Amino acid sequence: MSDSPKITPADLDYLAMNEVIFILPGFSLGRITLILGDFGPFVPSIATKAPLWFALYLKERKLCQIQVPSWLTCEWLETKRNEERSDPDGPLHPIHLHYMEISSILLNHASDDIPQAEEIRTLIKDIWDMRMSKLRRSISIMIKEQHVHAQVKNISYMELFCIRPHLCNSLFLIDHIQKAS
Amino acid sequence: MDTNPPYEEFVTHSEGFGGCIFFSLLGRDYLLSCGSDGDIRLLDLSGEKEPIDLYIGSSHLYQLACVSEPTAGVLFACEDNSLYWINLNLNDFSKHTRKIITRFASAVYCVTTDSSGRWIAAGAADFTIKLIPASAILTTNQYTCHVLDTHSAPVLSLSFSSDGLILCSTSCDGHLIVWCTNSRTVKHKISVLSPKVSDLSLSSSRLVAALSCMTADICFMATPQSFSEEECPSVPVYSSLDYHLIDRLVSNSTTDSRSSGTFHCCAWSPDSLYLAAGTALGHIIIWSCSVDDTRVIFKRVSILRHTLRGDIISVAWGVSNITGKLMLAAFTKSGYLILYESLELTPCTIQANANQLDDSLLDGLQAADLFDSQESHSNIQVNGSNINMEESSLDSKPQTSPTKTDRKAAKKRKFVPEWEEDIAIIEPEYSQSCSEPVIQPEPSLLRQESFQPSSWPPFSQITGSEHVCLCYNLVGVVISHKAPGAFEAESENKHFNFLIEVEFHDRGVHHPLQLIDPHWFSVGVLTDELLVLGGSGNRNVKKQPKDQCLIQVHRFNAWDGSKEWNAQLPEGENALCLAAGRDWIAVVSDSLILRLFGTEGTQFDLLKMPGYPVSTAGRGSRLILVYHQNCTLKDSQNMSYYLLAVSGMKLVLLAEGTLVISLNSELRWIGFTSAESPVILDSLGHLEVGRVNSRGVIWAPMLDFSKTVRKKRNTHKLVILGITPCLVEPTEDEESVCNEEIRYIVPSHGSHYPSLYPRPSVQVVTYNPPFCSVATSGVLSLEQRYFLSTFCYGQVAKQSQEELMRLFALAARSGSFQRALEVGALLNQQYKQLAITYSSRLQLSMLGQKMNSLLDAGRVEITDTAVTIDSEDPSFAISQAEHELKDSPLVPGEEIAPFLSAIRTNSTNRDSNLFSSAPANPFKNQKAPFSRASSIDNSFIKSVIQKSLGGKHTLSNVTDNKQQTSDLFSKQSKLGETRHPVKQTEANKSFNSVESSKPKPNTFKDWLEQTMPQLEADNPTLKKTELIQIATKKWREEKREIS
Amino acid sequence: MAGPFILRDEQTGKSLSQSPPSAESKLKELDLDEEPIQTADDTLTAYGMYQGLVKAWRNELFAPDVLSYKGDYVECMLEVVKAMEDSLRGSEVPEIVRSLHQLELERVRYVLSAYLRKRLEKIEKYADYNTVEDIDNLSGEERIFIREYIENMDRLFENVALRHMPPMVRNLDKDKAKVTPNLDEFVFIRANEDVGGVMIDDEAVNFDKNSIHILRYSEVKSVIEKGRVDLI
Repeated sequence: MSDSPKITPADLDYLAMNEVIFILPGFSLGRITLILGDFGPFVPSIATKAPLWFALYLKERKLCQIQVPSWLTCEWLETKRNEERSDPDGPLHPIHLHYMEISSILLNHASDDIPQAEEIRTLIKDIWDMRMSKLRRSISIMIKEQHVHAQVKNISYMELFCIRPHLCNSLFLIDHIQKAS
Repeated sequence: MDTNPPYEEFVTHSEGFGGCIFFSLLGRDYLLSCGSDGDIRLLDLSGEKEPIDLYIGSSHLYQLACVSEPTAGVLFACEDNSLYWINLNLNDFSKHTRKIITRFASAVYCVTTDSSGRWIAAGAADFTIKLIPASAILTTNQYTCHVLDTHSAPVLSLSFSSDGLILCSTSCDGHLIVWCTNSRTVKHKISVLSPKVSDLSLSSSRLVAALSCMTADICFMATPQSFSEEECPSVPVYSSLDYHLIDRLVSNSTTDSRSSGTFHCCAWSPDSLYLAAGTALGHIIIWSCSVDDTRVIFKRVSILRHTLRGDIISVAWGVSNITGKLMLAAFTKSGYLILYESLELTPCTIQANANQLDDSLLDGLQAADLFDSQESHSNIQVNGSNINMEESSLDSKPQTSPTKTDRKAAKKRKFVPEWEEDIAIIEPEYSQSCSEPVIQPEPSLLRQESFQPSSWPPFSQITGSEHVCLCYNLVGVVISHKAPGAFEAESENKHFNFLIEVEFHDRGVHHPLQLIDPHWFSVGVLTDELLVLGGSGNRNVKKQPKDQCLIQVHRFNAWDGSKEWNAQLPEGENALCLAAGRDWIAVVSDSLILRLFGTEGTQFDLLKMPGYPVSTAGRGSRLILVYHQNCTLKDSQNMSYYLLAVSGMKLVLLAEGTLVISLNSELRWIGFTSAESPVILDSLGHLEVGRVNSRGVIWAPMLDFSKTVRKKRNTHKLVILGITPCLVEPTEDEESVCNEEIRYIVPSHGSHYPSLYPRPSVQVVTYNPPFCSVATSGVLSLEQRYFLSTFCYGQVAKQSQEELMRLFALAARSGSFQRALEVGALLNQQYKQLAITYSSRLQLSMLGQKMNSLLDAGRVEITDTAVTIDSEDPSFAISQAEHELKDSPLVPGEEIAPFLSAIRTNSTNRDSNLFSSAPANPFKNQKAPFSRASSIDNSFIKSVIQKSLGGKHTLSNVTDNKQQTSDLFSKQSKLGETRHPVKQTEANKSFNSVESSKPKPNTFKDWLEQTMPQLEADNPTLKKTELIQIATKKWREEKREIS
Repeated sequence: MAGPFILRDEQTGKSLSQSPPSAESKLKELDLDEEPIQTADDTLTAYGMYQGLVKAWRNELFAPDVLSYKGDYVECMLEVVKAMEDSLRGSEVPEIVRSLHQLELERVRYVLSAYLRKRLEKIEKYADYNTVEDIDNLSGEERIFIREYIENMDRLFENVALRHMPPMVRNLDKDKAKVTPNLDEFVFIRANEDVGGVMIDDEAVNFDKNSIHILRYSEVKSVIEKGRVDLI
């Protein structure tokens, strides 16, 4: 039986930071080679790819402007939310696996680069609430019916983090008790 | 009649279509206006006339209508396909509730209500008109909405008659349709405008046809006539009874009717005594109309001139509740609202003009009308037989007596023409002299206004908008916006303090600046050394006589402490555009003078240009100036240019001529390439680059934005930042021919100009000259590649010769030998030899022989700098190419006076340092500028991994210096090669300084370094050149052993 | 049964899949591929090594027992880190490039140390258990560590407590005291490729590529070791 959480949200952030996004650099630099790969050359105002951690570092020093990824726009998130809303008992819809982490990072550090940041915050929250409620309902069914195997689709890391303690412990306990009896 | 009665001007909206309307509520008069910025502003005419924001929106609003029942509210037609209604909350105008009345499939262009308040009519660009009962405003239930869709083009305007029984509508398809409101059927269709256009923005001369109905038993409909070939601008008036043309009103006598411009709108006054029409040149012409039983007279009463304010696109009449006088408001395309609060007009009456032929009347008459006037009645008569409804009335011939059919037709009308059957019509004497049609000059385009390239918008420095971009180019952005809290509303002078914000794309150049701007600068230009601002002071304060234009220059690299200097232009001059190059600044003023300043403030030179300036741009030592020399033509602006060079602080004319832009387009941007060739972009998206030679400039079309940029709608509004050398290194796979790219930004969706917050991302495109039959888009044909390589590198350069070889090979392979020969004649000596060997390889003996004869002809000149096609050694090739480039002219085919070439080589060296570090100055960032090379490169990481994995695995892409081979040459390298030692050590040094750590010597240079001492020791007698030859042979052997 | 969890129908033994119609295409469109593959040959580039290390770390985080030691990745990343540090110290680079490389090195070091730390934690916890099984999963240093750890712990108990106890209870019964990892706990896995024939409660289940499942650890332990599924 595991008590302490195995992974921390900081670790989830770490994993999310490897994501590559587009930035508009405010400086010029030739091609650089990182372990992650080659990036650049950086030319002022021309959209270039950069890993998220680097983009945040630059943003803090006001050296770049972050371009929101295509899935963090109002329109896309609204369609996502409507999809989830229209299907309250259905499966989860595909979404970026690190959407919570990345959106919270970007909204906290780079909200001036995100058009309609407040609406996006509410949209993300709505999507999160809907997905979690779907998951919770499904989890309670699974526990009640004492399944030992299930398949989930399109679950993101943050959601996994939230349901893991409850689900895994409960399933284990049920299994344990069943085996004992 | 010629001086304007007192009026007031308000700056209310940004440039674009809009409308204004008078509204009175509870005894107070209001004037509402809506515009392209999506706002509705309200002016309280009984109090302080200060525009109040009634509604703030984001989509373009086209027209307003007011309802007082059931609640006071405003209807407005919006570009987002909806018709909205908001209520008027008298206590707090900004608090209102908005409701959507109905939706269309595309932008709603017009809305109107009838005077009884029963119906609302709205017309849209989806060709339909919707008729909605006014009670629908407040109900949430379903209401019947009648759709009238007879039009076949966007509906431009609507108007109800006073009793609400008739609705007239005009649309871009050129028809005026009269509907019966109750039955919603078409009563009549008149063809008014020609030709048919498909959208509001395309209608000729940006025309909005408007419609008015008179409040009387008889209704008249007046529509401004669009500009057709034969006619001068006029407002035809039709009768609503039998829909025939009553009159065609013009503004002036036929000789100078051009001066007023096309009519854009018209409106009847509430008492139907006057008809006002607004023109494209800013005039409002008012006619008075008097009707009695028998005839209708129109007399031009007044012309109100506002030439500076732009096209008048909407006029509205109102009656003041307080004074009972007529009020007139006009809304112009540049966002100004002109209000006449009490207009004194004398109506014309029929008796007043009896027995008199005024000059003024003559002005209003068309020549043909004189034929039918009788001596005793000098008024225009309703006469359908002489005036053609479709064609110009000038063609009609004098008639001696009306025909029978005319008389019968005339009797059917309510008013009977004056003449009876037995009265002869006496022609006035002067009609003979007017029988010849007056020669009409060709209609021409409106002259383009001056603008500063890479800035927007040119005229909208108004209270409505928050920021105005003065300059957005490769170096940075200069924005002028209203400083928060700096608004001082004094009683007389209203000062707006403006803030200039300068932000650089590359923060290493300079940190962002913020300057307080008490002068309200209206033009600016930014280079990486200075910021130039020009402005004339406060625009919305009443003209102060001593207002002088100020030029302010900020220097970024000042080492002598003087960061800023000002210059005042002489009185009466206003700076229209600016340009800056290396060490100089040019200021163009509206007194047709170009002044040349040094960067530190000394004035050096003056130039008077032959016409009104349009724009100017500069780079390095070149300056181009575009001005209107002649009048504009029917389909072109007909502008001319001067291409000048600045040398020794004096202007030297390099070339002049007519500016080559597409027909029916305006100049959108002007600038230079990195080789200082002039570049222009017109409003249709065509980019042309000029090639300068001693006799002038020839322009070649290099790119068509409307084909490359997908968003066709906005091609004419994209903003070019500049042209730079390609900074993105091409990967080894790509064969890029162009070494320059064009950077531009596109407007954001739904607006005319790019949004500034957040900053738009810069798009990049390279030249794509429109050669014939390109197989697939995006892939340049060989001919295009050759053209581009000569353009970028010169005709002698290696790249061009390679492209020529490819063309030769293609022609030879496909059997067109003559073509191959022609192409081969352009090759240089040793490429010709290659061509010969190639053709012999393909066993084309004839071709080979001919090429040989060409070769013999030119064999005398063997150049020293023959290239070694040693494909395994890139350093040779690179240094060779460098060598060649220095010799070849920068722009192909050029013969330039010697001293200018010296200037140019300097300038390219300078330009290549555009992104490198500048000398230190106290104002720059403390951080050192970033260099372009990073010392930790790909090979290093990979070598580490290789080592750490024990060398067991082989890495997939360890290609550091990919051999630059083309299969064409690899086999030829043995033949025809003359090896000349190039000064290697210098080349080596330059390369070694860039790469810092290389684990193994896997290039020839490094290997040579290592083995050179040994070789020297071995062969002390040989000279260095021979040593190098031996070394290369050894290197070859080694490589063969390894592989 | 509708819902995000697609439960196995006990009777038919087939998993009910009610996937949204264009999930696959949407996935592609979203570019949700976790690892942006930069080169063709994944495992042999620095990036591949890093990804492998991250995966190993994640697996260690969620697995109840100690998995096999991914020495290749660890050593390679150590080398790379060391080499980068050396070259950074030596060369003159602009400030921004230096800080960029340093940031990245920090990140790599974090994963390295987190991986090793997690393993150590588990080793310590299950020290007695590991002496019997899974010793192959440990690296050389870990084995030395565990041996010394056990010795030290024994000595500690001896000196502090057992020495003072009555002789009958002086011996510590390791078997009763040992802590065993809970191999039956439920974990989430993601399949890296199509896996067939995994036995769950005597029924064979197939995993599709990139599908996420929850089941007992013991059933998938072997597949994890082979690298065909990962714990998430």
